[in-house]
Amino acid sequence: MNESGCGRMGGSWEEIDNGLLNPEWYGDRDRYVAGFARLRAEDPVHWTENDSFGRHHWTLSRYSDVSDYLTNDRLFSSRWDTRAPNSPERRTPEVRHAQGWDVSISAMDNPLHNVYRRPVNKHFSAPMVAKMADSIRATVDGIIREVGPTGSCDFVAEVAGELPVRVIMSLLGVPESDWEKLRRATSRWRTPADPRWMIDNDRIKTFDVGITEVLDYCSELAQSRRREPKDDFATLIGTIRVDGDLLSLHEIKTWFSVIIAAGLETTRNAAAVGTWLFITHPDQRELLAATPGLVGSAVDEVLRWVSPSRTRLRICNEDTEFGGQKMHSGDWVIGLLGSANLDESVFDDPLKFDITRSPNEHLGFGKGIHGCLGRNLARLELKTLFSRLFTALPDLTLAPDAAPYWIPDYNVTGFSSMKVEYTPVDTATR
Amino acid sequence: MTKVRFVTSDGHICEVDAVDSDSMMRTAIKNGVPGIIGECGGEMACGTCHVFVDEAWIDRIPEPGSEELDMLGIFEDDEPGSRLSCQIKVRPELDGLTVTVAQNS
Repeated sequence: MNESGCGRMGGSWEEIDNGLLNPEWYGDRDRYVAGFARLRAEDPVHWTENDSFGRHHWTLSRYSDVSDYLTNDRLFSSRWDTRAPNSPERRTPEVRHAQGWDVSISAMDNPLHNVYRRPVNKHFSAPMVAKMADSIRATVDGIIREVGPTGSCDFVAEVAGELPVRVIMSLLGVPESDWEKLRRATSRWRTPADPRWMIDNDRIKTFDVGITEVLDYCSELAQSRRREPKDDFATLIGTIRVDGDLLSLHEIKTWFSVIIAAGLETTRNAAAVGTWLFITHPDQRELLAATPGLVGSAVDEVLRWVSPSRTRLRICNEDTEFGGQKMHSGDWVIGLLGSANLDESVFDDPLKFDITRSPNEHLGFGKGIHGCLGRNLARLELKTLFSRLFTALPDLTLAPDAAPYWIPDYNVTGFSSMKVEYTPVDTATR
Repeated sequence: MTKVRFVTSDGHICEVDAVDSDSMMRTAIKNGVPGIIGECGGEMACGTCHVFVDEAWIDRIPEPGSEELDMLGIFEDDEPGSRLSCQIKVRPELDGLTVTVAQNS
């Protein structure tokens, strides 16, 4: 691509190339959505001269290419990470070990990936998650009861973020006194450019501090459960066998960290942006109120529209041709889930928020062997929230002059905060 | 084409033409058999394609592997013939295979 295209849809190629892995580019939704549209229309398998990130890479933007790439895990390796990292700098074996990447399913390829993941799959299967329905309903109602009397709150911190914290921490068996500390550490790890959490205006440092805090905590938790087993998921992970032997403490703590990080962040963001979508689309909110059975389909539409985790990274394993382009072994390939989910060749009127959309085979949870482990749990949390929230707080709306602030991050789509108001209710739910 | 039958939870019988080497899960989805979701696409991860193979057929299909057995352990209605339909591959010899769809979430 050599024409500058200034003023074209989505900006010039130079702007797009240097924006794709630049957190700030994502602070303006219209800008990056237009950039994605230009990529899909003009250069769907795009060689991206990304000097601002410090590494050039391929970018896939169409649904069909992203879907093929996610399912072709022999050709496209996750050995670096499943998400685009903060820096193009290679992780040394020392760093890989210190940060758990050496035993994290996120950064594993097959056959090893399945050896680690399969024993855990059943615990997040639909029938097992369905057993948690009553407790999740109680959790959602409890949160609503707490914010109900105030008449206003920061929805991200007090509702959307609180829900997965309570669900995941309780499931794992983390004592309540440690929830806030872990929540902050997880946010630093997963959304290091969010000004709310950033340390010294340095997102790489923030990431390192966050992941280390989470892993240190998980190490203590793993040791504690080994000494004194309890009836919780943390203990259960400690009983998993790989190749006939129990997991090591390093493997156990890394599993905890994966569950915490993945469980807290994406659900929070889908819950907050999903609620914002309902508030800003009163027709869809009324439709859901009139047809509660649509909640499952509504959750999938939220996940499609939001794409809570919007970019993937894979490393090309061999010289190959993909989408008409010649890729080379070792090339970085970024797959834009957030663009695939807006592909007009798959989704009619893709920018429209339509809770009746069917079929809706979005890639919000990824696809293939690295597809989101906790997707059934996330769906249940979101279904429960959207089912209860608007009934309990029927006039819930955005606070005036407090537009929600998008987290500047190339992986995560979410709000840093979202001030909401409603008529105070003393007993929001019964 | 191999004909296979799905008995749904309300007792309805869906007899469908199956493509050889497709799984029974894939066959059910292609034919819109209610109650089979197959959400994970056949990775033995989601537990939404649970069926009970009719007694007459249990010994005529390959036994479940250890990973399938591990997953089957989560179901409370663990009767004979309990299988993940994603792990049953259609073959010409299975013409007439009948399975009952479990209550999948």
